[in-house]
Amino acid sequence: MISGRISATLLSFTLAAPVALPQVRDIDALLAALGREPPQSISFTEVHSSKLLEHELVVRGTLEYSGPGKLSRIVAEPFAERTDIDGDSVRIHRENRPDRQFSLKRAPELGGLLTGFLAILGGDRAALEREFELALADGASGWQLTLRPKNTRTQTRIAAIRVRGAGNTPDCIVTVSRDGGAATDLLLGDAALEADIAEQRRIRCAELP
Amino acid sequence: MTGANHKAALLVVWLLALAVLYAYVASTLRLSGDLRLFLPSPATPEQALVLQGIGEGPASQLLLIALAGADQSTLAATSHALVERLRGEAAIRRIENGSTGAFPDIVTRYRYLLAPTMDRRPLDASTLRVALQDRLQDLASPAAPLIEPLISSDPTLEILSIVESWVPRNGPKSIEGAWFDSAGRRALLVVHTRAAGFDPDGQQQAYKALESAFQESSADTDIEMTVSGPGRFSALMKERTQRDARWLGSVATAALLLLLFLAYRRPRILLLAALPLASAALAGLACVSLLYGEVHGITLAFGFTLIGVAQDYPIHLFSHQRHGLDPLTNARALWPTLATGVASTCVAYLAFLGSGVIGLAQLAAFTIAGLAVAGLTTRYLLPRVTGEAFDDTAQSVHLNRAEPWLSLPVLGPRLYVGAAAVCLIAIVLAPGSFWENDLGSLTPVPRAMLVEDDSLRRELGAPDVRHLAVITADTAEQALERLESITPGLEALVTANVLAGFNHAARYLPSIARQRQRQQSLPEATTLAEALAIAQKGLPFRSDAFLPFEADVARSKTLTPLEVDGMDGSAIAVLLEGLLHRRQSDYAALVAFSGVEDVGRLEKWAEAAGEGVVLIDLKRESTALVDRQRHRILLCLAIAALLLLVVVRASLGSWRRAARVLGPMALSTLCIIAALRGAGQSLNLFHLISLVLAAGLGLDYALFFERAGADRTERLRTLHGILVCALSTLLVFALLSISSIPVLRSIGVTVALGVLFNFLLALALPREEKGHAHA
Repeated sequence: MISGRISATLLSFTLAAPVALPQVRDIDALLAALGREPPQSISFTEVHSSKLLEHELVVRGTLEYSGPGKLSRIVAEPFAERTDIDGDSVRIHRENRPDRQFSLKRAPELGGLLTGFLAILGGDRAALEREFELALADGASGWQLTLRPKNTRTQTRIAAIRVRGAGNTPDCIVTVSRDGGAATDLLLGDAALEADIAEQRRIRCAELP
Repeated sequence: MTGANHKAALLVVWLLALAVLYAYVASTLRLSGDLRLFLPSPATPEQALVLQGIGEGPASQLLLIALAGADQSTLAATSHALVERLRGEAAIRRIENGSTGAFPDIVTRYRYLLAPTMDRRPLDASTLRVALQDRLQDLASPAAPLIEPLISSDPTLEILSIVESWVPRNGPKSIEGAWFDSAGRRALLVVHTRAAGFDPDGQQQAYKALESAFQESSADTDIEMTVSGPGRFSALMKERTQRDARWLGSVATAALLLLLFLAYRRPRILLLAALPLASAALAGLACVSLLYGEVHGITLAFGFTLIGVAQDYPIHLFSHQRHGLDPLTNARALWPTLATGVASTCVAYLAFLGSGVIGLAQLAAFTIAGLAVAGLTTRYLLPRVTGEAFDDTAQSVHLNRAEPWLSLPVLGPRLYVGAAAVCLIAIVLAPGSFWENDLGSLTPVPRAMLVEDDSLRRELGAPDVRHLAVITADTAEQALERLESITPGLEALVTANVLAGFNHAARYLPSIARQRQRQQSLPEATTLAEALAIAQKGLPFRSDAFLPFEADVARSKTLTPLEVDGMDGSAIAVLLEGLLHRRQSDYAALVAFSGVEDVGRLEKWAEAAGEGVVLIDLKRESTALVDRQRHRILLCLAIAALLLLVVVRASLGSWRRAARVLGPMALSTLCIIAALRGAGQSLNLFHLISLVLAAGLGLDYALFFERAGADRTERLRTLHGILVCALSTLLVFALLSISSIPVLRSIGVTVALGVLFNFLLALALPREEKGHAHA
């Protein structure tokens, strides 16, 4: 689930200058279109679900990409929180609480995803394919890149990550969990700012046939 | 003809006896690497603790590892890979690099009895409310995958608070989950070996496992691994001792053979000259084996250099041997002088038998047995297998030509006193302290390695090596309760910046009383359910989300508290090692301090802490220990010197002659000390051993020259013998002075100097007409 967020973060850097592109025909062309230079900033809305929760949890905020391997996730609603990712190190800052820090190395499933998505940013298909099996679907409403983790430990938690978008703009990243456990839908850019999140998810996040 | 057969038969018997002795030694003697063999024996319980830290304590099983030579990410990744590969390795009990692995089952199960947070707040509605709000944020944070599996059974995250409280307060900094030094250049790891620190073979095995795991983990990088710690030292010392012994031994042997051949021009002599020395070595080893069962590698290295004196005995015999002289008659004539030398040297080494240092006692036993056997075989066996076919060394052209150059003017008593005074002044005025008081200098580990070790230890936030509090109690439970009772006082010291931190056993294992108290404060099932319901109000958690938590709290109320006994092998037992010692009749719990800023206030705290709490200054204790050892050895040496005087006086028959023989030796000893001190050396145990060796050599030279008196031919033969002796000894010890082991190096320098001074002073001995007038 947070992998989904991280991936979203990385993909979002490509959003700064929307260029009208024809339909994406293959993965190489898509990856080439997604590459962008830092610094970048974008709004996000996350919808979390967990078997521990009665209903979904909606979190809004901003993602910032400030350089290679460096990104921050700043939550504004419904609470204030800041997460800084620098390489493998993750630091979480909350109001009235001591900072917490951990390493992605200690959570290899996350580390693998991060590596994979850094590869998307760099248009490095070979690196991406070390971590995932890739599948691209094209439809009238846009494209859908499906990433299926190769790492068996990651597989136990995450079945797939679906990136949906149009042109060179990703709109939604869905983390599909393995056993109906914790999962995240992440809306980016304009879609994240809409009031009716349910409607946006229906349009932007649904799986393409 | 029958004489020749007789000789050959005796030679065969002798060689056979040596073979049997060798077989015995090879099958019984064990080689030990315990560096403490050369450390003094403790007089107080505090000193025992000091030594335990050096030798067999758990600290001695720790290897400190540094990885350097790559960027931080690569170093951290290599560190994690190394940990991954070494888990489950037989020679390694535990490896840590700062990463938190899976929580040990025992800690998870007992978390409500172990967590210190349980004393600070009850598991009531308001505590749970705060916790659940935090958990909700966790579920919407990047840490969610790590924390989510814990939430339903441990919403207050007690397990994390336990693990965090166990992390050393001033531990090394963590980069990408791995420990690093403060500069961020070296990744640090700690390995706990299964083998004891002084078991060089076990340590070697652990090191090999470490090496191969490192090779695999660091492929394609330029990373270099440094391994430090007592275990590494003992393995390294064994390696080095063996290597040095091998090359020193072979070079010295070859050079000695060459020297002997040049001196006597008879190949047969080479074999014969080796027999007393070989007998001495084997007899010495057999004696140590019989008395001690094991021998330290360093004892062996020292021992072989010390009994090198035995090589002189056959040389004296051969240098006086000539055509027409029955070798037995020759031996009989030389015997009083030789026996005096052997006896007085043995008496000097007797001093070390009573030194209270096992390594030294072994050394003494080895040397005394060896020298006695060498002397006796030279007197009774060697002449019976030696022929008469010797050229008279007094007729040697070279020697006759050299003799005038070697006839030094006789030093009168006034010059003696003057020279002694100059030496004394030099000794007094030399800079630095006369005695080496650092216990560390008694280990044969090179200083650079100790400095490296110290820096790693500091970076790893290992406890202050100087101060330590010891709490004694009858039972482990009492010790833990005592630790708990002094903890608030210690925390106040930390707040007041007297210390940076402290560590003791009760941090990991609370007393049974404390565990019971926590159990009792846990809410009953219905109370907990009500509190949870209140805490959950308005939060989107499912009503059944925390059923596992309720079950765990209920189970925790009925758990039998953990005890020290029966924890062997558990994750907690590993943490307790080194902090709680079971002794014969009681327990000793240690409180380790870090970053001590104000020793005075710490001392006041210890006084106020009451009975059973003793603050130990390890530095002071270890200095006292070395001091005590030195006093004892000096006393032994003084007694030995008196005995020596008696032996020499008895043998020579007059005080005048005894003084004439002992004078050069005494002055030489002063000269050596003056030279060493002048070069800025502080004297240690090994210098004392070397001084005794040098004195023994000097005594031999003086005895033989004194025996020759003014008779020119006899003097020439003696000069020949002593020249060969002095040259061969000088050769061996000059070689030793380029050894890679500092201790052997200082012995080499000391003895080489001794040979030089003693030889020159013996040449300047008064030459009297009635030389060999002994009984």
